[in-house]
Amino acid sequence: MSAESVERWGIGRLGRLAASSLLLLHIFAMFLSPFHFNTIPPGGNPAPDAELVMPWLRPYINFMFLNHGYAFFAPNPPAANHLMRASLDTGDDRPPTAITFPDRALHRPRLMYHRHFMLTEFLHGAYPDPLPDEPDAESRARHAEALANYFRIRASFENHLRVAYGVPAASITRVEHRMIPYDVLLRERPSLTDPRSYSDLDDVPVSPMGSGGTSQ
Amino acid sequence: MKSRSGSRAASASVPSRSDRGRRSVWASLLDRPLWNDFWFTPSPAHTLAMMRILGGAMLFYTHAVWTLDLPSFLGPDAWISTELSREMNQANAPGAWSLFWYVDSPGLLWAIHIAALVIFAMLAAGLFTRTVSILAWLLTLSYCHRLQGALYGLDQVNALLATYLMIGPSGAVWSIDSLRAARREPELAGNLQARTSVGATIAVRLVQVHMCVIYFFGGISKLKGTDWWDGSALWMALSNYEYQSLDLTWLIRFPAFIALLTHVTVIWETFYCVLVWPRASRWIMLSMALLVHGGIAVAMGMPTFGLAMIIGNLAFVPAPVMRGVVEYVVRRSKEMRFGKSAAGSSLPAAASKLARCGTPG
Repeated sequence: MSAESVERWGIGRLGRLAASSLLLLHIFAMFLSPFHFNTIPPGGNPAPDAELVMPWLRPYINFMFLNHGYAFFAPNPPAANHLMRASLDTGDDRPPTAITFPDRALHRPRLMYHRHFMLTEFLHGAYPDPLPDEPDAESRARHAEALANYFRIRASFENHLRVAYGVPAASITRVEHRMIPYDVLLRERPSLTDPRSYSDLDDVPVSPMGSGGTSQ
Repeated sequence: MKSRSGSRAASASVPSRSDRGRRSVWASLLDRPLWNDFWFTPSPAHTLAMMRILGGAMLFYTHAVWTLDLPSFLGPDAWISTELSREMNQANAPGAWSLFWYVDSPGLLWAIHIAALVIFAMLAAGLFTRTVSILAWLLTLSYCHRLQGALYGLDQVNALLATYLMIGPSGAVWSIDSLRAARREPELAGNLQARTSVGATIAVRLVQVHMCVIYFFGGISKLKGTDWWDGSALWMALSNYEYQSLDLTWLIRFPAFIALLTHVTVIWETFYCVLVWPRASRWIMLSMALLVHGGIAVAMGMPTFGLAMIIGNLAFVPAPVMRGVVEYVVRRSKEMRFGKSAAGSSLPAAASKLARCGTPG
């Protein structure tokens, strides 16, 4: 049989056993990551069965860059996008220069624009959701940790701006660009970049007691 | 199922009844035709080679774009500093590793980046393919793990392609390697095209299965949202200024059409993993992929992501069809250049070959 199976399947039984084991492991890992991601409700924890095996496979999944949910424009396409306005202060009498990221004219080709767009969405995504009205100690601590993490990312962005533009001070403001509702668009036909659809978002500073801040 | 190995063992010695039973169970499991035929039937490398050419070119372009602002993304004082990148990965993605976490010198960073571009170009051209495919995979992962925050679907598909191109003999045909082999041994030149390998099958199958996983979860994730049910999701995408690269907002006058496209998209995505396998529906699924990803490439400002997904879908084009189409295109272009009359097979012949192919890849 061995010769027959080699002729038919290219490799012998032992080789197929080894290859099949590796394939099963890899396919399981490939499936597990989006499955795990999809079982997490907003603000909740993953389902116990997804969490059961994840610790064993997580290093492999992470190393192989399989740690994705594949939720492209899901569960809904974004109702708002998030940009950022960088204010570059030269430290003299000149007024600070403002640059918006991403900028279609500044960031070319399109892929470079998209990279900057992903960065600004990443920064916004790191900002934690507001705390519930009466938070318990655990959610307060989690919120404070997430907020501290956000400020570390923002500090890294600001440091980059200082180095890249050679200025002594740089600050960032998150800007939300909301989608214009369908009925308004149909009725008034405003531009997609109508100024009314943009608003600045506040960052609540981290306090030693944790924070109950919200974004606008 | 009758054990093929069992009969051979019986003729060599006289095993006990229980030994025969055990062997028979193992043999039966290991010789299951469905699993083994799917993964281990040797196939020609043409599909994988086409994915190498296009995927290698995509890897080259994607990484060449970093050259425009390399220190801002990969330098020590990048948007995400090297230190922060390493710490975020250690906290959130244990197991991830990047060469760039250990690079502080701008000179070294540029040297590695230029070497990476050369490697991606060599992969696309098929020069020292086996070696450069492994290096390309390691480098792709290194870039991905260093560039948190700046990544999106394109990088996921790039990593997928780099991983599986490394597994199979992607340089066996349509490569500088195959030209060099043919020059060294001219009598083998014809055999190179016909040569089959298990590695090519495994690599192509892995791309196929991975594409099914991506679409399946992409589809069911959308089913959790209301916009994909009420038919407005496509409108939300088309009227999104930051994504938009082609203004299709005039479609607002046709809400039923937008809703129909929304529903067709989500149904196609969810059931792709089932309907892409039968011959009868495969070409509908692949045509839909071409339309959806072509639309994303043209109208939604993500030409690279759209093209990368189309390259992934090529895994479902059987190798004989891929070969037939490429040979037809080459012959036609020669005829147009030199004015020779058409000879041999035609594109319709390649298409009919497809209809006869039961096994993709």
